[in-house]
Amino acid sequence: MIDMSVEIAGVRFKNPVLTASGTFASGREYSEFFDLSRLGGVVVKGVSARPWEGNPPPRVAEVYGGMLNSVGLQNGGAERFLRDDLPFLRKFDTRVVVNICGHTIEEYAEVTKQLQNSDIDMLELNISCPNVSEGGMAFGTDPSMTARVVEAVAKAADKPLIVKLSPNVTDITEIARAAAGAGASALSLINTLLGMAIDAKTRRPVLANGYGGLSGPAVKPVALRMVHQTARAIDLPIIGMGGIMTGLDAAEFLLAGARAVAVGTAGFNNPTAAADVISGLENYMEESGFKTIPEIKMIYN
Amino acid sequence: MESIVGLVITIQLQCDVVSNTEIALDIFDMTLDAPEIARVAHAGQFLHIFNDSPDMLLPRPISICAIDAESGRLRVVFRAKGAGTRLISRKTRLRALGPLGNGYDTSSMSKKILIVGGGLGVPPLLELSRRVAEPQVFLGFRDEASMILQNDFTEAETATDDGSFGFCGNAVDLARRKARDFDLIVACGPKPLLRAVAGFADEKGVPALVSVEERMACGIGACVGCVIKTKSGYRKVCVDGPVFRADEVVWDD
Repeated sequence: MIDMSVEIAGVRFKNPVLTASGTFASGREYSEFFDLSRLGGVVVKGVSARPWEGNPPPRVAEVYGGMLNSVGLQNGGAERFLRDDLPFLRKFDTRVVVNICGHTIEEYAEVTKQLQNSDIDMLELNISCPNVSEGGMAFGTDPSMTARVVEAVAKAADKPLIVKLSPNVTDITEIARAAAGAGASALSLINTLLGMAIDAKTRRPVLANGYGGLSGPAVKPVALRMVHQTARAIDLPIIGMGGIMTGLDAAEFLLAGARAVAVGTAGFNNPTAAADVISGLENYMEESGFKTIPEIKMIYN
Repeated sequence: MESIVGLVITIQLQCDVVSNTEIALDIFDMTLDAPEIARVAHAGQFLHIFNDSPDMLLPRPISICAIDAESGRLRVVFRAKGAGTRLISRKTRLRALGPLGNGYDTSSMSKKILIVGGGLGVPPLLELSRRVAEPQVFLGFRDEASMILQNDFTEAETATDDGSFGFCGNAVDLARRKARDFDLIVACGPKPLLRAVAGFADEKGVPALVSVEERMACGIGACVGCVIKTKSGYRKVCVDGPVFRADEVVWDD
């Protein structure tokens, strides 16, 4: 009998497969295609204290082996999330992780307070979105700023706090260490890599915003390297993500040192991707003789 | 704790390409055997068609041109513009997701409908024209060589930008001259044409429905990638559209 459950900061997940924030909304759209109760958890799209309009279109561009997005965290705000989305998600037997975003430390703290005493399992602090002009990645690329925002949010939070890290840094372990020191209970990585697409015919950037976040299989080697580096350096559970399309991809992240994984862009290629990753990972465990997730470890010679 | 799977109205399936003809340069007229989708599709909705090529992740949104629920077949007409659509144009079997988008609510539509289509915006209007009574149809194309589907409509007047066939000008110019009494305009085509339709509708004091396009990822409303600017903020083309009221769209950008 295979036990796929994992524990992250005291929260038990039935399996280590979550959805990546921003790719799964609050689950409703994908619930047409599979039972959300199969998921270890749903990490919802970034929620801010007040509604955010997002960036002008075009917001997405396909690139080799992946895509760019510059959605800019368009969302209806915490109040609406609590009213419309959370009750829906709670009908399913899955963990609910709320990704939170802000322009300033005060806004991050404010949305954290709005989510106090709500029926959610964990918070994920988004200090790595490359598509907002203030806040977002600006916090996640500087260790002292990371520490300040993590500390403020950890203080206001009544749930364990995951800090989502940006890959757009020289040394991700430095940021991870700052987050750990300031009260993070877990880390998730990677967010998207800042990229650009140019249309040679029109001689213009494809995205209205110019730059956007690269995701999809193209980023997987970078993500695996960063998960591996961070897992060796920091003693916090890691949720690994970046280009996971299959159960084998998920296994690679667990081997790199992640305790759980998240599936994102794959869902745009196949709406049942997250569920398929769970089945694929289970097959991998069976074939490899693993009975539990923590047994999945790399061999070093 | 209950386990809920929502009401299934969007279906993903592998379907056979029953026929495929290049009807103009790089424009393919393809019939798919997709009974589960054909049974529930409305005029004006679209499909996501996947390449299943590892380097091209995103589906291609392609409008549904005709629906035959009885035989379970869907017709799509699209331009093989880039590598992705070119690959789709060569397939004999493909993966499709649909029906997507709001489409037209033909049951609530009035009697005197003016249909205006431009270029690759013409295909979704064909199914609409079959579901409403005696529409007046005006179609526009760049030139005679790029004309498509004009003979599939029971009755349609055609314009070309260069005057190589029919009226010289666009479909709105032609409608302005020739249209008789109407109380609703339904249009699909390039943005400048839709903007002109919005102006025409405004002049005539009638509502207009326009089908818009935007770069798209998920197609089901989750990623918020395909928005257009409307008077009530950014709205998703994939689920709030592709059909919008023309007076809701912010055209000046």
